[in-house]
Amino acid sequence: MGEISNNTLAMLVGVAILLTLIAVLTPRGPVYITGRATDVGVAKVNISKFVAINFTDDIIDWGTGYVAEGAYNCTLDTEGNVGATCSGFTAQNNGFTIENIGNRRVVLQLKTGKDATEFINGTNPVYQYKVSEAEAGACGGTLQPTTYTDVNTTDPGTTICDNFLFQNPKDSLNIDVKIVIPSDSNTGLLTDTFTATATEAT
Amino acid sequence: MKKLALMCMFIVLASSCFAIGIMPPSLFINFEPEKNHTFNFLVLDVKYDKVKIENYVRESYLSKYTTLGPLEKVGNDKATFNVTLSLPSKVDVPGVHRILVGVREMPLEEKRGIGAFAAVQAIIDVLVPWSGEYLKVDLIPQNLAVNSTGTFKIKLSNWGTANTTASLKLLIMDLNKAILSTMNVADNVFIKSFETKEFEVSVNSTGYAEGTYLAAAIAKTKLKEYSSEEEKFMIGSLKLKILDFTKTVIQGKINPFKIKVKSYWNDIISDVYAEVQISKDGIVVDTFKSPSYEIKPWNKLDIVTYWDTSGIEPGAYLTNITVFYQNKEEHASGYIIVKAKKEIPVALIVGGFILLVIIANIIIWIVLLRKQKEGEKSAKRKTKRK
Repeated sequence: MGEISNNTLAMLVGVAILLTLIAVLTPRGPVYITGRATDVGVAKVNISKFVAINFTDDIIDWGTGYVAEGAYNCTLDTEGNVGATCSGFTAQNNGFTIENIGNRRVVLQLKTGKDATEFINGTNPVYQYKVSEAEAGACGGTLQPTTYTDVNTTDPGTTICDNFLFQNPKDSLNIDVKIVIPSDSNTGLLTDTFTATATEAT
Repeated sequence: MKKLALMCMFIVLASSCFAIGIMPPSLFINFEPEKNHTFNFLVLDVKYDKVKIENYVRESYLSKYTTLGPLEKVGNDKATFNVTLSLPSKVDVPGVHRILVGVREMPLEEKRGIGAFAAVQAIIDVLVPWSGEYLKVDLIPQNLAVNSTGTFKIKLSNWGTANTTASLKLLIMDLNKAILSTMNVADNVFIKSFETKEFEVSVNSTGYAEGTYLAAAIAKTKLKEYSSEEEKFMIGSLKLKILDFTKTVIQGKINPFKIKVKSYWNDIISDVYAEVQISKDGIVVDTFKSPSYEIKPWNKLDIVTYWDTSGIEPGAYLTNITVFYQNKEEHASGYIIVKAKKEIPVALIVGGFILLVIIANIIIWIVLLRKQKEGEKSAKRKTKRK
């Protein structure tokens, strides 16, 4: 590497002086004079309110099966029970789990698309549900129904919790489902949906 | 007899986590004749790859004056839409009329089984004023520590068409609604139609025993008295103590496990439940939970749960009990003795049975012998008489 000439040095010094002047004179330029300073800062943040819910467990899968020969019906639920007269179905230990992921307390309503006859059909079909707290204290109001009750297809559904809290770790509820399939039920692929509706609790 | 061919399939929707949100969750407007409002909503957390969404306005008293705009996709998981509210010149029924605007998930296509979908609703509350004077009083009390000062908030709203002047008081009551204290909050408060004024009142708990109390705010005008809801608040903190718990159980069976608790509070404590952890040499052997109970003021209660000691060896085990109530916990620990099941040996049962049979036989033999002797004696007597 060769030596730097006097001219180059003079030019570099000139550029340095120019940059320093720009930095000092520019009020909000990219270069600042450093040093210790104290100031009072006000941090402002605006948290928006919103209502949001999430089905963290939205599957009920008993698989494929049938009512045993000679039996009148077969009972399945999401608490791990598969009736003795059920053949081929897989036990389910979980129903639906719904979480309040917003930042407001909500009223939660639940409805289904079909009732027992529309969904299962046959002689005395049963299609019921019940709710419980997946996390203790998640419902800060009335939680219902806590025993198996026929599903409700009427809009907007049954109020299952009138004060569903959002603070972790008490913000999730379980919905268990029980069905009784008569031997003369619909066959093939049976479908239905549960719809949970959240509205801010006022 | 039904054929095996009667099959039901509940193979359900593919694994997913459905969520949906709406912002803002609620709006409040005052009724103004023939005024148009446009409300914009943001839909959050939409899983477009799993569901489709649709918006709606639920039918209500004022829903016929709304026009629902189309959903417009924003980014990968959001959408926007608006609702226009064209208020009529007059609404006959005063009060707060609620309009619910919602968004719900729908399956992308018809699938098998039972699926779960979410819907969220935003509230549009429209206040239609009462003719003349109408005040609404809201009170937000605060729980207080013993001998301390806290702030109660009072909101005074004029939901009438006329301006008015009111005086404001705060009442402190016991749970039987007996008035313990009356505090003057403000005099001659002038409040215009649709106006809301907020007040803060310092409340001192000195002289009050620990417990639950009621408070109510009263606004008084020349015409009428308006009261808030009676709101509960606490002085001190809820107290519940564990007095005793089960100390011995039998091995190899389902044993009731009782935890005796006492309430030191003047109101019902609900959602009281216990968690029990059993351990030995630092290793947790079992944990179990009780159902929820409600305990009456100052009462004792047995929280009953059950411990299945199948497979548990006899001996002493450390028991850690936590009683949960109203976001509080009470702890207790001690030792529980698992006693060996007293089983009577088979030989003893068989031996005892044989002994019983022998004794019974001896008794029968003695009775028969006596009867035989008596028979012989009576026969001899008859012979002598002859």
